[in-house]
Amino acid sequence: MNDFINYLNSTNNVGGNSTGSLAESQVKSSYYDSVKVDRRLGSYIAECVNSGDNKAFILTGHAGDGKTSILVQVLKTLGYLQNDSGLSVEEEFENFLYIKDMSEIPSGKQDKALEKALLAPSNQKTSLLISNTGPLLKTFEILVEKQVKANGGEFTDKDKMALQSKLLTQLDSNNDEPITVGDYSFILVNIARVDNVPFAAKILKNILNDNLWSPCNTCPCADRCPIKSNRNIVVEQFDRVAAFVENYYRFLYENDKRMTIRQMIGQISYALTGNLTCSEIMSKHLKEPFFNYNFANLFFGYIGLKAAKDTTQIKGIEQIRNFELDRIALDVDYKLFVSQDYSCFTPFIQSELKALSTKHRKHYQITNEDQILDEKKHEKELQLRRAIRRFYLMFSLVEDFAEIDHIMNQVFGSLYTEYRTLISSKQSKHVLNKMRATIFDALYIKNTGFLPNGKTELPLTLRREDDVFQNVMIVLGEVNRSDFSVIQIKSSSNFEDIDNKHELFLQMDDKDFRLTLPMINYFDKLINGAIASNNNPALSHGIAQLDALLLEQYGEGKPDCEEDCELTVIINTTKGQEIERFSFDGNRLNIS
Amino acid sequence: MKMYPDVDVKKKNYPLQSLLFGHRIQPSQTKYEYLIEFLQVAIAKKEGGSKDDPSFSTSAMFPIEEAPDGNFRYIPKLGIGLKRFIFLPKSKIDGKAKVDEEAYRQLIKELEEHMTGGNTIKKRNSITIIQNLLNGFSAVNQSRSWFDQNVLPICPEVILPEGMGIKKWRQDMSFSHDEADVDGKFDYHKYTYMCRGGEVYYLHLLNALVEHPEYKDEIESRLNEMISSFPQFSYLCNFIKGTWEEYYTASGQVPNVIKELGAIPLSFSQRNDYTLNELKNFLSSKAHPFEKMETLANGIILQLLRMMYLAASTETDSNCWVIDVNCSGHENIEAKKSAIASFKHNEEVISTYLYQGLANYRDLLSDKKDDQTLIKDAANDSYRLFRKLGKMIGIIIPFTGKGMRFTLSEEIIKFLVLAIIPPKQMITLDAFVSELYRHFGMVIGPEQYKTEMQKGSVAEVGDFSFLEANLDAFAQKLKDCGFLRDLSDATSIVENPYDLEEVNE
Repeated sequence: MNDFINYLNSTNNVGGNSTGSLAESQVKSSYYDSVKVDRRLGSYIAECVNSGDNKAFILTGHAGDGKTSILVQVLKTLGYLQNDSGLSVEEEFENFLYIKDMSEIPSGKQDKALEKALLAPSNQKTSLLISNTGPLLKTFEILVEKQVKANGGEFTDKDKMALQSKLLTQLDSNNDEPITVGDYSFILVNIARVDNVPFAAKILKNILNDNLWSPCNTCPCADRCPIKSNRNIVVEQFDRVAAFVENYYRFLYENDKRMTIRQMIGQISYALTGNLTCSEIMSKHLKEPFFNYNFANLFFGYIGLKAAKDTTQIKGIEQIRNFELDRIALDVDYKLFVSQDYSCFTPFIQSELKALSTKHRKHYQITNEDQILDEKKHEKELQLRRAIRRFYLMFSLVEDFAEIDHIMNQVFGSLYTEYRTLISSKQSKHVLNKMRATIFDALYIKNTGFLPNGKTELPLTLRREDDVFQNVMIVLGEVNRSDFSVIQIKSSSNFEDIDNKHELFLQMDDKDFRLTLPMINYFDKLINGAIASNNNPALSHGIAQLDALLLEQYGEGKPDCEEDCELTVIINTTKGQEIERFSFDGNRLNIS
Repeated sequence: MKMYPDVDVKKKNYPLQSLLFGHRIQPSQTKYEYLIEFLQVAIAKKEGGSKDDPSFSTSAMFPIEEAPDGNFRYIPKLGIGLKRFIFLPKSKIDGKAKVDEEAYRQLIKELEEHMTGGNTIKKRNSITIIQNLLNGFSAVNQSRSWFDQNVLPICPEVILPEGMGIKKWRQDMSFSHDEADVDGKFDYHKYTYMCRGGEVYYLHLLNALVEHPEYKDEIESRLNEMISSFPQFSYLCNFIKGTWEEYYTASGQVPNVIKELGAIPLSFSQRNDYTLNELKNFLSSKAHPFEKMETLANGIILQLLRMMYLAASTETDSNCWVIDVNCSGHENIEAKKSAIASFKHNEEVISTYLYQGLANYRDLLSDKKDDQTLIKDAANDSYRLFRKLGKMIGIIIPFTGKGMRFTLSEEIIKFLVLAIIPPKQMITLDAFVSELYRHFGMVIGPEQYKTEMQKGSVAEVGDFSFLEANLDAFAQKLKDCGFLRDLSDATSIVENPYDLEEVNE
C-alpha cells in the first residue's frame, strides 16, 4: 500500500475524493513539500521582509495558480510556519502580515483589512494580501470613496470607472512596478499572468521521486500494478515524456488556454494512476492493465481504446480532446499502421502494442463497397490508430531533441518549435530574419493573392472587409521587406519564473505588433495555400490590426489635392499582377 | 399618434405599420442600403419653408438649429452618369435601354479623349481598370439593373439616391447630348430598394441630436471622416463626372430631386441617449474605414430593431431579448428553449401592439381595406420584417426553419463592444453584460433574467444555472473574437482594443 497514490488521486476532481485540490488541505499534507515548486515571487517577498525593504503586495490569480502556495513559501522561508500547522485568515508578525483570502473576512471589514495591508510598509512591515479580483476591485472602490469623501471630495461614476480601469490594466500587464491609488502605493501581482509552463517538468520529476514510491518496491502486486508500471516507464523515458507534456502545456499557453499548476498536477496524477487505488488493484483483476491504464492513454483521458467517463472534468484532458491531437496525421503513420513496425518504441511498449494489434487483427478482407463505407466497421480501426499515435507522441524513441521537435511540429503547427525558440532564448539576426521572410510572404499573398517571387516591396492594398472578390485594387503604399523586422523583447519582471522569457514582435519603425503562435501558424498556412478564412475571428481581428498599423506607418497618407495624388492600382490578371498609375491634371487623367 | 416631425396625420396618410414603426420601413432593403440611404440624407442639401422662398438652406448634416421640428426637405446630389459608367456593362440586360447604351459609349469615347499618355488600347484598358476598381466596391451582389446598384460609401460622390429607369419612359428615348431627359427622366420616388429605412434612422438621430445637441459636432465630423477617408476615389469619380458633364451639355437642365422625409413615432426617442452614445463611441474607434462601414451597417439595423421592439413594449412586457449565445462547444438546450419561448413572446407583444394600434387609429386608415388585410400588411412590415433584418445581421437564428431566437453573431459582437466601451478602455464582463441589458434589453446572465422575471416579461424559473452557462458561453465567444481576456479567478475584462481616432477639423 502506498499512501501517496491516494494523495495523487485526490488532486483531480474525477470521482468523489478531491480534498487535495484545496490549497489549505494540501498545505497540511505531508506530501505537499515533496510535490510543490518554489516560485520566484515567494523568494522576492521573503527577501523584502528580510532586508527591511517593506512593501505591500496584493496577489490575485486563478484558483489553483498557487497563490496560497506562495504565502506558504514565504512563511516557511521566514520560519513562521511549522510543519502541519494550518494558516489563519489573517495573521500578523513582527515584520510581516498576511491576509490569506479577502473573501473570508466579513464584507463589512474588508476595507479595513485592505487598508491595514496597504499601510503595513509605513509600520515597518511587509504585507501580503491574497484576494479574488472581484472583491478586490469592490473593496478598493469602498476604500477610495471613503478617503475622497473624508477629504471633502466627490467620487463620481467616472472616477469609479477610472479606478477600475487602472487596476484592471495593471492586472492585465502584470508590471512589477508599484502603483499608486489615492494615498497608497503597493505592488499588485496577477499570478495568472506569470508563465508557469516550465513547472510541468519539475512537477513531473517531483511526483516520480524515489522516496515517494519506495512502498511499491515491497508490494506483492508490483508485477501487475499499472501505476507502478506507469511510474517505471515514465522514469525510464523521463526527458521524452516531459518534452511532450511541457510542449503540450506550452501550446495551450500560447493559444491563450493556460493551465494552472493545480490543473497540471491533476492531469499528470491522473495519467499515472487513472484514479485506481492500491486496494482496487489488489482485489480486482484488471484486463490488460499495462495497455489500458497506460500513461499515454490516461493522459489523453482514455482507458484503452475508450474515452474514460468524466475525465473531461480535468482541464488538460478536456483541451487535448478538443484539439484531437491523436487524430492528426503523422509522418510515421504508414510505418505504424501499415507495416506495423513498432521498432521506434521500447521493448516493453512494443510487446504491448504487438499484443494489441494481434488481438484486433482482421481475419478477412473487405471486398464489397457497402462494407468500405460502413463507418462502424472503421471505428475500431480508427480507435486503434489513435491509441498507437498517443503512444508515439508520448514514448517514441528519439536520437536527440531535434527529433522530438520534428514530432511536436507535426501536431502543434510546423512553425511551433521555431516560435518556441524565439520566445525562450535570444536568437541571432539570421533566425529572426527567417521569421520575417515567412511573415512577409504571408502578407504578400494576403494583400495580392500571389507569392512574392523575389519581390521585396509589399503593396498595401485596399481590400474590402467581406469576401467579395476584387480584381483591381488600389495601392495605398508600399513597404520594403527590410523596413520591418522581427524582434524579441525580454521580460524583466521580478516575478517571472523563467530566465529568458521573451515576447515576439513585428517592429515597424516605432510601432511594435505582438506576434502570437496562432498568428504564426496562420501565416504558415497562408503560404502553403490555405484560403484566408474568417473562421477564427480573433485572428482576423489581429490581422486587421496589423493591416491598420502597416498602413499607418507606411501608407502614403491622404493626398491634399488632386494634383498631389498619384493613384496606384494593382490588377490581378491571368499572367500575374500588373501595376498601373494614374495622376490627375486638371480635367485630364494621365496614365503612366 | 405622436410623430416626429410633428406631422398632422390625416386619413390614409400612413398605413398602420408606418404609424407604429415609422414611415416607412419595408423588406428588400439590404443592410448596406440602410447605411447608404442614411448617409445620402445626411450629406444632402436641406431646405425649409416654402419651395419658392426657402426659409433656410444648409448643407449641415443635422440642421438642428434651423429645423429642430424636423420639417424640411432635402435635395440629394445626383450622379446617374457615374452610376452608368460603373454598372452598365456588368449589369443584367433587362433595363439596359438603347439610350443608356449610347450614352455609355459616348462617355467612354470622351474619357479616352481626356486621358493622356499611352495608346488607344492602353487607354481602353485603363478605363476598364477604373471600372473594375469601382465595381469591386459594389454594395449589393444581386442581379439588378444598373440603376438599382450601389457602391459602398467609399467617397461622398458615390452616395447617390435611388433613381429607377422606368422601362416605359426610356425604351423609345433616343440619345442626344442636349436632351435633359437622358439623365433626368428617372423616377426618384419609387423606393424599391432604398425603402426609407435609412431615413427612419436619420430622423431618429436628428431627433436625438435636438435633445442632446452636445453630440452634434463630433458625430458630424466623424461621419464625414469615415466617408472621405479616400480622396483618391473622389478625384477619380469627379474626373468621370466632369468629363461626362462637359460633353453632356444638358446636364445643367437635369431637374433637382426634392425629397421629403417621412415621420417616426415619438416613442423612438426612448433610445435617443443610447443611440448617440453608442454611435459616438463606435465612430471614435480607430478601425479601418471599411471595417467601420460594415460594422456600422449592422449596428444601424440593430439600433433600429431595438427601437421598434421598444416601441411595442409595455410595463409588464419589456420586449427584452433573451439571448441564446449558441457558442460551439457550449451548447445549452435550456438557454435555447428559453430564448425560443421569449422570441415567441416578443412577437406576441408586437402583434398585440398592432391590434391595439388598429383599434386606436382605425379612423385614420383606409376604409377600403378590411381589418384583416390591414393587420396582415402591418405584420408583414413589422415583425416579419424584423425577422428578416435580424437574420441579415445575425442576431436571429436559424436562418430557415423552426425555433427562431435571438443570438449574437461575431459582427454584432464587434459593434456592441465598440459601441459600449470607449476606445482603449476596458470593463469587467459583468459590467459589459449589464450595459448590454441597459442599452439593448439583452438578457444573457442570471442577473438580467431575474430583473425581467420580476417585471413578469419572461417565464418564471427556479434554476438559473443554464444562464450561468450561457454567460460562460458568451465569455468564450468574446474571447474567440479577441475582445475578452481572463484576468484571474472569475474576472474577465472586455476591452475595446482600438485606439482613439483623432478628429481632423
